[in-house]
Amino acid sequence: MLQFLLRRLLFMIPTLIAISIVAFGIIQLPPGDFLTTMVASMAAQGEDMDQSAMRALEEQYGLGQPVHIQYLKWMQGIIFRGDFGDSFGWNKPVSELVWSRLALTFVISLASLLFVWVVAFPIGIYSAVKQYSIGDYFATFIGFLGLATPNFLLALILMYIAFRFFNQSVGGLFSPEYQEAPWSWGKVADLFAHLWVPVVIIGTAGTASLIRIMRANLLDELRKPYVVTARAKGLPEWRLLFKYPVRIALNPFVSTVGWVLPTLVSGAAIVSIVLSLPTTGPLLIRALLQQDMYLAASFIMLLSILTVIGTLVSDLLLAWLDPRIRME
Amino acid sequence: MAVTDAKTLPPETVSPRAADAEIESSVSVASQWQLMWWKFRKHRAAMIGGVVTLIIYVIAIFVEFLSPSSPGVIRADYTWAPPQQLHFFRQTENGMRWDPYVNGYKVEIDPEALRRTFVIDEEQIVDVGFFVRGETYKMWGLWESDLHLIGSTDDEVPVYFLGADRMGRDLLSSMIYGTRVSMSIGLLGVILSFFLGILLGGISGFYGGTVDNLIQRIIEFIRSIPTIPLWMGLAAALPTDWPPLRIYFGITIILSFIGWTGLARVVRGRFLSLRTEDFVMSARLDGASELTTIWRHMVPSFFSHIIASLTLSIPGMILAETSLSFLGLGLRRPVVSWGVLLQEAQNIRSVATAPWLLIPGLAVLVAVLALNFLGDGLRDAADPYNR
Amino acid sequence: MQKRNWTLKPGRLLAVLLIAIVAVGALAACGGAEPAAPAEGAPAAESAADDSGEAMADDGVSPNQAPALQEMVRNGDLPPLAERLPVNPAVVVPVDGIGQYGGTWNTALVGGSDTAWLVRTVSYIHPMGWTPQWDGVVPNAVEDVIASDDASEYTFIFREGQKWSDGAPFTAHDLAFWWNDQILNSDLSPGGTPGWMRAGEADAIFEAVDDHTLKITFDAPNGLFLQNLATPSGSIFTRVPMHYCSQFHADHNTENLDALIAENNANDWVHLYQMKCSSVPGTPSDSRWFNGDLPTLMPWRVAVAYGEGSQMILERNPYYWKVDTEGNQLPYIDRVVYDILEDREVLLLKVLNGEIDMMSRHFNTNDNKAVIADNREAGEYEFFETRSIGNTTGFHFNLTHKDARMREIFNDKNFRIAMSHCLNRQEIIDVLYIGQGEPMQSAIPKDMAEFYDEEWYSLYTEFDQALAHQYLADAGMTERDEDGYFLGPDGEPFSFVVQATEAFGFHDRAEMAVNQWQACGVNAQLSIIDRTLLYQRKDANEHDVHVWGAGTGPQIFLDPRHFFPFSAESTFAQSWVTWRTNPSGAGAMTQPEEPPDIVKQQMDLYAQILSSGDQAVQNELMKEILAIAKDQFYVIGTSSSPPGYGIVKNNFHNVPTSMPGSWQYPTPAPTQPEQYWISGE
Repeated sequence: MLQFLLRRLLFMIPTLIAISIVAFGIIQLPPGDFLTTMVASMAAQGEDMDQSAMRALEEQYGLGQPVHIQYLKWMQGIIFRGDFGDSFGWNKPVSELVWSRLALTFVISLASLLFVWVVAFPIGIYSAVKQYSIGDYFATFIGFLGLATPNFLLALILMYIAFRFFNQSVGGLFSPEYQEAPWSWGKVADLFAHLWVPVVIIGTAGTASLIRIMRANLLDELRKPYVVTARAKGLPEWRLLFKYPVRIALNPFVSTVGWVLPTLVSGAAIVSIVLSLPTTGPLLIRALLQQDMYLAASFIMLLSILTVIGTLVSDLLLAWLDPRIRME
Repeated sequence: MAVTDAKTLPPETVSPRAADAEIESSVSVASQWQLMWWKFRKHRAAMIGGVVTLIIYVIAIFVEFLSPSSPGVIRADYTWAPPQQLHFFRQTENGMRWDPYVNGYKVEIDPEALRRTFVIDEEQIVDVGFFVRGETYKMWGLWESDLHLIGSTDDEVPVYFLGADRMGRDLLSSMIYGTRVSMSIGLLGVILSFFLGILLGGISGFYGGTVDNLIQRIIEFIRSIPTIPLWMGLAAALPTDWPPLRIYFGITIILSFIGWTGLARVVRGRFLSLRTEDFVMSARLDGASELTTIWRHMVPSFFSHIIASLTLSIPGMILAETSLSFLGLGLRRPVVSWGVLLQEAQNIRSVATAPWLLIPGLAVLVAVLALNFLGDGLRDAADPYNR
Repeated sequence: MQKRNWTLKPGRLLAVLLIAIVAVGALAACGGAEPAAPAEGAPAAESAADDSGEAMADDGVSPNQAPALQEMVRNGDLPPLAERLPVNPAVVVPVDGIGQYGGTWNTALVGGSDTAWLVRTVSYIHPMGWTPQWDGVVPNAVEDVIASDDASEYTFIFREGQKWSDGAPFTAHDLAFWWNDQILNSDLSPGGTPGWMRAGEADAIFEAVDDHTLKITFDAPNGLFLQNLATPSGSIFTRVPMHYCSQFHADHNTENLDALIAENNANDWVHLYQMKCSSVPGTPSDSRWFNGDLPTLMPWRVAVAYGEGSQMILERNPYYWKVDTEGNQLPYIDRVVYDILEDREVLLLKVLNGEIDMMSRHFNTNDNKAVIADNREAGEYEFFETRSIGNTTGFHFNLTHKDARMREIFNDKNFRIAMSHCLNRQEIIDVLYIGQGEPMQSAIPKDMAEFYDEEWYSLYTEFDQALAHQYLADAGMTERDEDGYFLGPDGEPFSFVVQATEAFGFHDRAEMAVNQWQACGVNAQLSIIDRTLLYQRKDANEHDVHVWGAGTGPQIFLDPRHFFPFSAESTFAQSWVTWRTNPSGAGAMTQPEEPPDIVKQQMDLYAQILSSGDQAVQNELMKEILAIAKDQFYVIGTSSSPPGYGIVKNNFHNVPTSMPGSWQYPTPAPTQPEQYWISGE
């Protein structure tokens, strides 16, 4: 096991290098750079910018240099100084920006994850056990409903309803009076009052697929002979269920659990934009759209590394859960 | 186990319980697909899902004929026009008579709010006909026709069964045209990723060792790059001088490029646990080629799981397309997809004053639900253990 | 009070200004208040605060300042008002009346680099400013300006006792430092001086004659200098406090510069200076918004910098140098709070919900107006009008197309006339502007009487396909292909791509035009692309037809982009533009190409405008340019712009009901937000 772990860690090094290259490369894919994007968006607002200012910024941002030099400089900063570069768009160091938003992002992500699990597992198990019952159909339908509604539209509609019928201040995670206030119990309460909307919207999409996978896997297991045998032997139904079938049914799910966290971070980005949440998602999307390259690249790398680690974790979990998968 | 001759027996008989099952003679000689069909028929929700899916694909095929007009027709006097209700019968002195019509609009311009105010005018009657002659189009780009299933009998007065968008374009027509694009993107994308996923996942799980390691690293690598930036990067890199059709294929490939890895990992997990199973061993010992073993013995044994993943991934593709549109990186007019329509409706103005523009969201919902229920039924039907 | 456009006769500046000041005084007197501004620049002048001695509270603290400041003065935390105001503070005539102190102006920014709305609201402290009606420029951050007759030498007179927000005096040395040590320093300004500051060969010379006198000498006449100072470009002048910024400058700080660099995690002193003081107007690289320590002349100073949280907060500058006509120190409003949002729809909801006090950016589209109008009562706000008097859309056929055949066709004026007659402008107006506006060529709008040309205004704007076909025949296009599209003059299939982007609904107009051209028998194809890409294709001269603006507004002298190849925004002829601005073609994405003589003549006429200080002469020269533009027919215009709008809460006062809408007149800044005020419940 230890050897396996070491080998996997060793394998991660080339992966990480490749990731850093790709992360940087993705930003270079779209034509243009931060400056041209900025000039174009300024022009779209009827604003313009002097040529001399353009050149000054180009120099300041180092955009005139060849791409590989930019990349090497960036990597050098990261490895030797832990400096991820500056965000052009925010005029701030990348790390400062990301850190300032990470806490709330994790709060939302974890809350959503919890929501998904708490909702999906019982429903999934119930649907499998009571296959084709009214309850099964109902749960399935509700689960699919969340999946089938485009998230961003749902977010907008919920927001409109909150405004129109409940006269609520929309957008963000805090009421205006708490936004710049120091942390207090009132602020925490205010946060929770706002939190449910994004959590529900982000959660509904994930819930459906989890319910389905859980149900499908469990059904597979429940019809296996050992279950029949166990039932014939008079094992209580709940023990029968949780002793082995549920564990095995979790197997394919576990193989994806490692990806859940980064997906929640980046997957919630679109909803976060619509809801105007002060999380990392909108930061990332905007950075990409603006070609704010160090911010975007650092972000992509951060998320990628999270995934690589997650994959490793899920592989380990898989081995632990299903003894049939033996490590060579 | 019970099965030794994998070459001559139909694959479903690899099921350990097939041999001892008390089944009618017709069943015993039925092919796997026949058995699946029999089982599938029993699943009511799945049948409904299947029928709806079929209808949606039929719509996608006969788009030109079914839509009252083409989605690009702009009409100045009908911006943000609300839906008109279709009446089939008209009240005459002799009682109700079959004569489909809609009521026309009374329009006022409000210069301060910058809008036209529409009121449905009960007095005005616009005749509606079936199989009417209207705008000419090229069916499947092959021959010209001007026959439409339904439409206004008067060329000058359009009808809007689902209302109009901000430029007076007919929403119903746009949605029908969007069906073709959205449904085919989903299907094509899934077929591509399905193929890649099973092939690479299968190889990985079947052989294990170095091959497995290599493929796993590739998957891990692709998966580790966050989806949205990858989409955005790739979509933004599509050359803009491409014609809309090629952009469409480009986006399909981008979507499936990411989609296959999830399936591959699942398949691999199954292979890893299955390859030590006795029936696989027997098949191999019996001299079945590796490909045969994979496709005829191992794949069917976890077909159910693949179906479950697959049904969840067609809608995933459809939704991914809408997300790309939301980011302004998906398809753009003159190509119309549900994503394009939703993106156009993704604003407070539409939600507040023109809620009918959200109907494409319902189309997505119905399609996704239908596909899911269909897949659900298929899953159960394909389950080799479930008799 | 109507200040005259004194640029008309720069020599008479002083006289005009004095009249204006007297007028203000008289007006204030009529209002029953103490004259706020002293007549003439006489030494007898005392500060407005001193004048209001009668009203002085018992403890000697002037009531002509915000209550919070009074309290601070009482506690000794702040010098008395008289010491904070200049000897002759600038006097602002409130739009509707004297206001009350207090309140928070809630508004919003979208995303991380939305500095333009900041520029439009709180930072209009340029040396010169537009009059609220945009009919001339008047001194703003300086007391007076004297221009030489040949427009090559300008003398700025600074107010005595005017201060930065930290209490340090604002003097001629600040500007001289900025110019000599920042702009002319090749490390800090690798791009050199701004284009509009260049006249002749040598750089302009800034000389601080004394604390209150700055002489700027150009190598050649720079006739538009003062106008440029009133546009957002001009904001760079008055934002660098020497006493603060010199500590980050290698030439000025030889003691602890390295320590400062290390302390701020900068790479070198240039980086440090950029972080602390340097700025590129209108871009995110603007230390004014990110460095809360930077002293400023703005009515509000930064309390929570941009990017530090989900709000940006500015608070009253206790040293602000403007007063109202009763001598009350401005601004009236205590704080300006910008919510930093991620999405425009959330902003729209906040507007509808009455959470935004006054704003005219991002949410104010034509489409949104209906829903905003519906919520006026519930949201307790009203509209104000922003007049944009240009043209809604221009179709720029690429006259310097890379492809010789396309170029030949596009250059045929008959072809362009035909394209113009193919457009059903009324339909575009009806669909997209609900009937607001009228068909209009890329010409001078009616409001600009000086240059207006009735014939040009509606030239070729009639929708007439038959006439269009005649013009096409004149252009040699008579045969059609099997789809009914006209073949090129050479008998080969002919089509072109119309490129547009989604900003400001240009894509809608493009889509309609493409439909109309197709209906007219011309194979036009629509390509809606990302705006960055749009710009890139334009810059690389890879476009057939570019859809963007047309016509002009009062900024005609500063930016005549649609009347001859003036700047990179003159999309109809990128190669000719490069020839004018960058004849060597070094680093240009489009290679320069010598334009025809008639175009060169326009360029020459414009050069003459720049070297003249006399508005009458400038007008005549501009008319010549326009006459040629009319005949050349570079850009196909569409329709006159309907007015834009913004919203203002019912308890938010002194916002004009109508104001010009433009970036060059950074709406609403010249209406002087410091005199806006908020009434209580």
